[in-house]
Amino acid sequence: MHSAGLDHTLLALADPTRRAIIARLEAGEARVTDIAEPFSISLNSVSKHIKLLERADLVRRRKVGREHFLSFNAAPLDEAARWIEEKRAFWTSRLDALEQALLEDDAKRKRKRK
Amino acid sequence: MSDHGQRIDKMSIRFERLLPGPIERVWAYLTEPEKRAEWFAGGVTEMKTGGRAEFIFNHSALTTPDDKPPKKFEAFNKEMRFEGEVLEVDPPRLLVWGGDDGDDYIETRFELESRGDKVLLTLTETKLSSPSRVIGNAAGWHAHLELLSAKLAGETPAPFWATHARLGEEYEARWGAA
Repeated sequence: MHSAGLDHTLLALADPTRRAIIARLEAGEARVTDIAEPFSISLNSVSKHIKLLERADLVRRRKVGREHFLSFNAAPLDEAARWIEEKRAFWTSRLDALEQALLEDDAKRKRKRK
Repeated sequence: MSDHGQRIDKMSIRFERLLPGPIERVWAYLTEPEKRAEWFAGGVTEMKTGGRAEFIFNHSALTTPDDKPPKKFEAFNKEMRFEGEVLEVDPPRLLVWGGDDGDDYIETRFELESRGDKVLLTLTETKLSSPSRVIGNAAGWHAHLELLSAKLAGETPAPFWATHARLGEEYEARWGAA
């Protein structure tokens, strides 16, 4: 199974700077310039991160005249969470089965020793 | 020479600082990751036109633990990485960074010139995209240059965020909308 959406979500999240930008947007809408404000660098440098977040649909852009407002969209996290939960459930059941097998094996050995 | 930046046109600012030399030492503070991290941002600068300019900010490391950022910058008071482009480089006299964002094609130009045992640093930032960027970057660069001047002079700088906030108000008073 392959999902470009999941690739984009995980890639966008795999970076502390982009996670910090998400944390900033959780507090409310912001312009690219608001995000760049504490850093005296070109907006282009900030926009590279924003574009990856937009590709993953974690950030949405609203234009009002010349101003671009960015907001956080949590929906793509559902797919990522579902994938993680499926894998977690699968491996938890496998590990439960392994534990069960080991316990049974242990019990068998104990019976033999008696 | 005023410590405050000058507005050389509507969307451009300029700072001048007379710093302790020699010029190679000041150049190292502009280009070597560990030295630049002491006053602005770390990161590797590729010394060629079109080269990568990496910026690794860590504002919390620029100041004391009790000097807190304003609430709107709280999420960014740790390591933040960005990438720009080297537009011009001529060691140890000229370094220009930039980047195109459609609306905003900022250029940050550092020029160094020996003046006896001192070095004149001229920092010019052009093509800022909005009046709020002009004020924000002026306060930002001024606060960073305070750190650079203190480092080069072997002095203890004033707390970064407190300085940044004070300068933001000063530039707003000078250039803000009437």
